[in-house]
Amino acid sequence: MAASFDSDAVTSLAQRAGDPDWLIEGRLDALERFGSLPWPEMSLEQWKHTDIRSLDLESFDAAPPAHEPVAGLDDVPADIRALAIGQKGDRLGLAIQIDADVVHTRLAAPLAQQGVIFAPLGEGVSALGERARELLGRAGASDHEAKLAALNHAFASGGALLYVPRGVVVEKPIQSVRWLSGAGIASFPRVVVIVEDGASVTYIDHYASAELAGDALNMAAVEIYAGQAAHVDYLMVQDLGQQVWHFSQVRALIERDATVRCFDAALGGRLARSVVESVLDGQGARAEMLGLYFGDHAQHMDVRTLQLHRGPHTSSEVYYKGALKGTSHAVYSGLVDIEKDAKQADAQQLDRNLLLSDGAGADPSPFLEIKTSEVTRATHGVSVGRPDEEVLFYLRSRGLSDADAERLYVTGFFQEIIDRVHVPEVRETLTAAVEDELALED
Amino acid sequence: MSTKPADLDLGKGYRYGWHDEASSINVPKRGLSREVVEEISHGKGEPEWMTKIRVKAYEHFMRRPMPNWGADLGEIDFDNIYYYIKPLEEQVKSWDDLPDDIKNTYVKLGIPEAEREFLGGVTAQYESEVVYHSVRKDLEEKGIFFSDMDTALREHPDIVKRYFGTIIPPNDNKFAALNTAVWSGGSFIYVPPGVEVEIPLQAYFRINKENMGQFERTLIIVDEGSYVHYVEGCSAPVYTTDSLHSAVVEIVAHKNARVRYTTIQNWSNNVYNLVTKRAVAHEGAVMEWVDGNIGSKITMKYPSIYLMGERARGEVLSVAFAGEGQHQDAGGKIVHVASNTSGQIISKSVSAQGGRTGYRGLVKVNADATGCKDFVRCDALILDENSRSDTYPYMEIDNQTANIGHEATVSKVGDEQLFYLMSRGISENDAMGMIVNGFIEPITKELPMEYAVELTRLIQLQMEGAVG
Amino acid sequence: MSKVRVCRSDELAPGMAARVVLDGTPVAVFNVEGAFHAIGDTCTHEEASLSEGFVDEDTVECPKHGAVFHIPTGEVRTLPATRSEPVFRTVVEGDELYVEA
Repeated sequence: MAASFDSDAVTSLAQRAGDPDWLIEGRLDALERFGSLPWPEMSLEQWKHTDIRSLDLESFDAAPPAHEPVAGLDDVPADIRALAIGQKGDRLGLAIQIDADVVHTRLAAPLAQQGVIFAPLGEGVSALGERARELLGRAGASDHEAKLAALNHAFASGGALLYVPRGVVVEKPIQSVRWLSGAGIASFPRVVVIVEDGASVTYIDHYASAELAGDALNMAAVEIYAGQAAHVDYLMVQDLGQQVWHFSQVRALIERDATVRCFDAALGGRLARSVVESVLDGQGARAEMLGLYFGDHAQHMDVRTLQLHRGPHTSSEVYYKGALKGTSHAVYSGLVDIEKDAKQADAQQLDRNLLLSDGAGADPSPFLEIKTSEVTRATHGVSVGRPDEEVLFYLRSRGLSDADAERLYVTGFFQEIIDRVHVPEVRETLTAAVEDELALED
Repeated sequence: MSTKPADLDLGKGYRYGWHDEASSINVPKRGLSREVVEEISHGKGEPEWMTKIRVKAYEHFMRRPMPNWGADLGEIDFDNIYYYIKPLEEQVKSWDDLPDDIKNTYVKLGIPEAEREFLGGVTAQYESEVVYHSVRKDLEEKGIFFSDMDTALREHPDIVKRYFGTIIPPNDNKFAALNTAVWSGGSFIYVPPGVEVEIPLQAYFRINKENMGQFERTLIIVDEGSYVHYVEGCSAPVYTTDSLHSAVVEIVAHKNARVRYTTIQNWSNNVYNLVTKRAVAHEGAVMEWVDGNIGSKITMKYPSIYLMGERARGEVLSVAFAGEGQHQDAGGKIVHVASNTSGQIISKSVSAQGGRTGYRGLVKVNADATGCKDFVRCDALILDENSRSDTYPYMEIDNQTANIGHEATVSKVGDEQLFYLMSRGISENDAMGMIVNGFIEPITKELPMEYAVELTRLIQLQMEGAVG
Repeated sequence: MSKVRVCRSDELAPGMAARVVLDGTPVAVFNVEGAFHAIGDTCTHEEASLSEGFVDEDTVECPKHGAVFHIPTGEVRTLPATRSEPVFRTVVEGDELYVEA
């Protein structure tokens, strides 16, 4: 019997997660907020081209059947296990979430000894205590995302708390794999990454599933708190089945001299909307928001970014590259907001779209709101078009077939952005994914 | 054209800020109602179908909410505006036939002199009616019809009926609805096939009475293979309360025609300038909007081009300057409906002394329009800390063969640049001026020299006080 | 051939409009001086419903930006719409009005 989206489901999920009381209260507040807010409509600027009218929340199970924790990684089904990057020595932490439950978590012992916490959200928050309470939710959410943020916070399941204490440098990546097991499942991973002053970490958040027999819903909300001179590398790789409705919101609060790099790869989903927002509060804060998307068949890929410059001498870069085949469609919207006191801001915003078939389309709208003249750089650029005929001609004249010429062109197109990923295994995964997409029949 | 009426120093160097104690024919009343709309129509002796359009448009205007985007229009008091003032019983054909007070206005603005020297034909609108127009003899002989809209409606009702409201329908937006209800004056141009009008046709609009609303309606039809360049300039006195200018311009460029429409808008800083301008370009036609926005309190204007025929081309060249208390929200829209069409939008805006500029634009390629190209470049220069610039470009590309690019940069005047010029003995003021001129050069080089000089001078005046 | 019921044929008076969905496509049904016509409901310009528009004799004006369509043929008459609406067939069976593809 599928659970309904009500306070009973909230309480049941809270218990399953082992939430402390204050977090349970937070869930119930979120539930109320969710109830009082309308679903975002296409009349909203930030939802202009994305139609979610046929999303029927109640058709999903708010509290999916539980998956019991496994004894060891070998007990995790092979296709899920295969998504873990590299071998044991290539990563310092790994968690596997299936639907609403984290069934396996490992964190390298030396890190745990240094005070690093990597656990499902409820457990992690209980372990971290007051600091968690102080920060959770502080990142907030843009008004146009508030309804979905509230939905996630009320029905949060699994998720993660990644806490890195002051000065601790985590040398190798930590990874979560989140797997949706079947149709009808609704999963709301809530992820909180707290990196204290001078600390650094790379965290990979991988969302995947097989092709499912029916619709499923994945709605992730990620908060990143980067302390002074901290360094966070957050990579979201989304390769869900084409029946999944995927929404994710990433919001980073960046303190003085800290850098947060977000890499956002969107490959799957029937509708995939990825919102990545950076708030550059502290002087010298830096945000890099890079990403790629590859749509096929009738997918709808929606990316929205925010570069909010508040402190002086802050810098940000948004660079997304996307390819569309079949009748897929991409929407990019983004805002660079340089506030009056954000002197000497440096902001760039680029979105490049390659249309690979008749019927594919793109709607990019990059916005700038610059409220001061003391700007080091504020530029943006967008392009939409198909592969350059001259280049293709050259490749064909060298003996390549049409298909091979296109493949070379598109992999070259994405290489620039994939090269900026710092984790070699993820680079390989993405390169292989692009090849797979290209090989797909339309 | 380098006319120099006596400099009258009012306001912040706005030369046209004086007003005349002019008289009017009807008893003007404030506020809008269905009766006012019907009175306007019946007073003009319009055919029933036009009265019907006006009344329907009035209903749309009343029903539509104010736009919730763009500039802040909250302070417009619709009940306090005069929607129609008729200054003269009849049009005149020569300057000397104008009543002295109106004539003086235009003399001060330098119009008759310019007309003799340079322009092909001029219509001059004062308050709501076009009081004088003349069309050069040779143009008349070629079959070119250039008059005000009222005359056109009387003498060529068929053409007007065929096109009026088909490019910008009455319910397109709140201010198009208002214009369609109370429109008065404006220009009508028809150019028959195969005619090139070498000299620009000009209209000049002036708002005189306090709280005046001006609602000119312009319709330009250029038939196959013809060319015309139309120039529009405007001014209004400085008052403490506000005026409203809500115009509608519809243009059709038929097969292989070329049309350029140049506006140098210099309304005083109490005018709300809310304009809907849209053109259709058919096969092989070229449409160019050259749009200079220097004055007004608030401008919201996005000249558009629908490329309906194969190989049509559209260009929007826009320059805006926003000084203290001004908000210029401008831009352009190009919609590629037919295949192998191309477009370009270049926008240059400058904000200073707390002014605010915005670029708002759209490039749309329909799904069945193949081989289309469009490039947008919108740059903004912010001269000081208190000013602001926003850029809101939209792209909707539904055809795979389209090639679309967009670039924008927001910057301030570089210290090194300024220092270099000043170290050559140039004052800071002049140096700023040179830099701004260099910035807007891609647009000014498209203007006839006289207009480029005028535009540059107007910006210079606005900038005085922007530095230091 | 798919078919959808609109209403009883006497429920749609002259000058009125109704909206139904046929195979996932919204369709606007009009009564123009006693004759029934059906055309695509979604304005070809932007998301708006023509059945909520302003009917004037044999034309309908989209409520959003005023684009005018000729009801019997779906033909677009003014900007900002640039494409005509598809036409659907109306059928009266007994007392009932239907729309079919």
